[in-house]
Amino acid sequence: MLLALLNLSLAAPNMSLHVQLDSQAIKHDELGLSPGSSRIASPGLRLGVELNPRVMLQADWHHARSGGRIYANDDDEYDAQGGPSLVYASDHFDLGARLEPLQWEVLQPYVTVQGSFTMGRMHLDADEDHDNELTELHSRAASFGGLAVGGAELALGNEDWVVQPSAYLEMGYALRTPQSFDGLGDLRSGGYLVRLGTGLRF
Amino acid sequence: MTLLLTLACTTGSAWTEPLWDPGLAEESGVLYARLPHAEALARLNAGGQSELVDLDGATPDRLVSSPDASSLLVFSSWLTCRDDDPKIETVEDCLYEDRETERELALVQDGQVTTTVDIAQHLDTLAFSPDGRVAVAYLGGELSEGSAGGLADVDSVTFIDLQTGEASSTPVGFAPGNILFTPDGASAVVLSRSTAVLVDMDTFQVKVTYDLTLDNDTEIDPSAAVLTPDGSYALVAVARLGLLYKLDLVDPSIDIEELAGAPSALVVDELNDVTVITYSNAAQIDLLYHSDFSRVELDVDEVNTGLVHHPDGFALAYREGGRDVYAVDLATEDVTEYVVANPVDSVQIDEAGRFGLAIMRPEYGNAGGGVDAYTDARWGMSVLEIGDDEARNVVFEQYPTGIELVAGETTTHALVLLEGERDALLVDLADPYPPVEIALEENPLAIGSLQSGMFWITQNSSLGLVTVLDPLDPDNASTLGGFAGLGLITDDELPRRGGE
Repeated sequence: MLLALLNLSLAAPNMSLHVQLDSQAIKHDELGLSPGSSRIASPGLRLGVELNPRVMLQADWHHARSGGRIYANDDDEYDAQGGPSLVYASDHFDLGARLEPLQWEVLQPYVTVQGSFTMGRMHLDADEDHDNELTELHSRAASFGGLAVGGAELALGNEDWVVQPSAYLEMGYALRTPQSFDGLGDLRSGGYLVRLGTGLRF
Repeated sequence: MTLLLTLACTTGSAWTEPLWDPGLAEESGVLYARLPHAEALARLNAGGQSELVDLDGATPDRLVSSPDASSLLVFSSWLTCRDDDPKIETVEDCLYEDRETERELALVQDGQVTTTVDIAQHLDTLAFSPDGRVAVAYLGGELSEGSAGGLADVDSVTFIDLQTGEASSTPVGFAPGNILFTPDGASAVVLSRSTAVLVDMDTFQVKVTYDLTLDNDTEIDPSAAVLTPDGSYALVAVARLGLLYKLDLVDPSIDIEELAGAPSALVVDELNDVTVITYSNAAQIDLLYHSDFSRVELDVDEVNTGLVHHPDGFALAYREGGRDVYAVDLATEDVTEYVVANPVDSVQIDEAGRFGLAIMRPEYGNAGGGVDAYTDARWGMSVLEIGDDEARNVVFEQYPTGIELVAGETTTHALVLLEGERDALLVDLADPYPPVEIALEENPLAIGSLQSGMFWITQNSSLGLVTVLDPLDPDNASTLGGFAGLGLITDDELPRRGGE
């Protein structure tokens, strides 16, 4: 593994690889996608490639998954229906440029502007014990948009090191088109976002 | 390096409304379902994709099919905000005291809203003219706090021309309820407290007013009414009084006939030109012949509160909670008495007129054992063969959630749904055992019939599940599911702005 990273650092321009956690807003609390808030935490990966000392090409992917059983009204005759289980999953792909206007050594502030593509999937199942297409619904929806964030990355060691551990925290705003699930309706995501991650620069 | 963290949030959430209402309605052979959570109306296209009907943001509250199911009438409502601030976009944005519920009646044909009618909030019941051209909206239920939306005109009914969408509110008297149409559809008789009016169906104006009492301190509440087959007389029974009012609709006048007791039910038999009268406080059934308004009294053992009629010229009389059912042959005036095992809950007659079916409720308090105690503790049905006096009792192990009669060319079956039972049971009324089990996908919830003679059975699935079948040909069945997911992701936006 270490040899592979060393080879990578010698063969390629400066790169970074991070594991990150993203918090995105889903604007439909009633779906029960996230307990107590309208946000879903989604893990992912970030790959950065230095184009010049102040600009980095940055690609992010993160995967969100949430859901649970949803109960209908307990107080009336429809109680017998119970409720379906619902799983929402999405993959977000962001690609853009990261600008580092200040060349600080340890704490590096930056701003990032990215285009965004999201593929969401929704699965509803009224009878989890049996496979029956009559009691299940599957739907997919795509979404496009963009985001802008500002943040700071803390790197340990110095630039002479072949591999530098680093961590970052960034906040920003995302605008995305709604995910239109056929027949089910539109799910809107976006708004303020927070990302944090840790990884390696080499 | 671990490239991916696995994170799954599992949670539960509750909606305040169910996804769908298992009580369906038909329009031109297609079924419709209310989706309370989505506040939408779904059109269930058999063999195709179900779709939402565009109600312009309104929420369907109740569905009523026209008598021939050629159109669907949808009582619908939506929230508006008195504050016209353009920043107010959602219901939550609007202060509670500024929220207002608007109501309309939408006419749906071929999956589209063809017309809408503004309708007073308290008018909750519809009566249809024989040709289906006109619907009359009136207060059929109870008025409760807030149900009228601030103001209730309890003296009027609304006539709605279903072809043009034109509506006319016509004052007819206090608490109008019973509405009868003449066979030619030219007039309607509307009964209210102490008054009956004859309404012209072209202009929706009152032509004749009949005062049922000349003493304003006396309240006359019509309890039942029928029109003679030629449409020349309205016969009106009055609650608590042993009187029958005979309203002459051709040459307006009123005759009052004294009866043996307080009439409980009236039905008209066109074949024999006679009205059948039962009493809640007299053990007799009367036949009132329209030719000369002579009355024949038929003695029976018990009082009767319910009447079911078959156009072949007979009627079944019963008392809810009683054990006797009487079949009256209206041609011969013969009475056949059936004694059933448990108290009667309701009675129906199959379309072919071969059998009556008395649904029986449990009778508690029998401390004995054996078959009696077993039968007393359960629901059941008693099969009454018309022309015979035998009642064959069938006990249900569970509560019957739905029973429909299926008349074939030579046989009559009951299609029975039992609570908690996955299969529907098809019972041959001539030979009930063993019933044929019709397999369903899930436990049945409700049953209904289509104009085509097919039946629909909704089943317990939170995403919606309905089977349409011909019970006599179980291979002729189709099942549709998942329609309750339509519009699942709702928004909270105010559907219409003020004045829209």
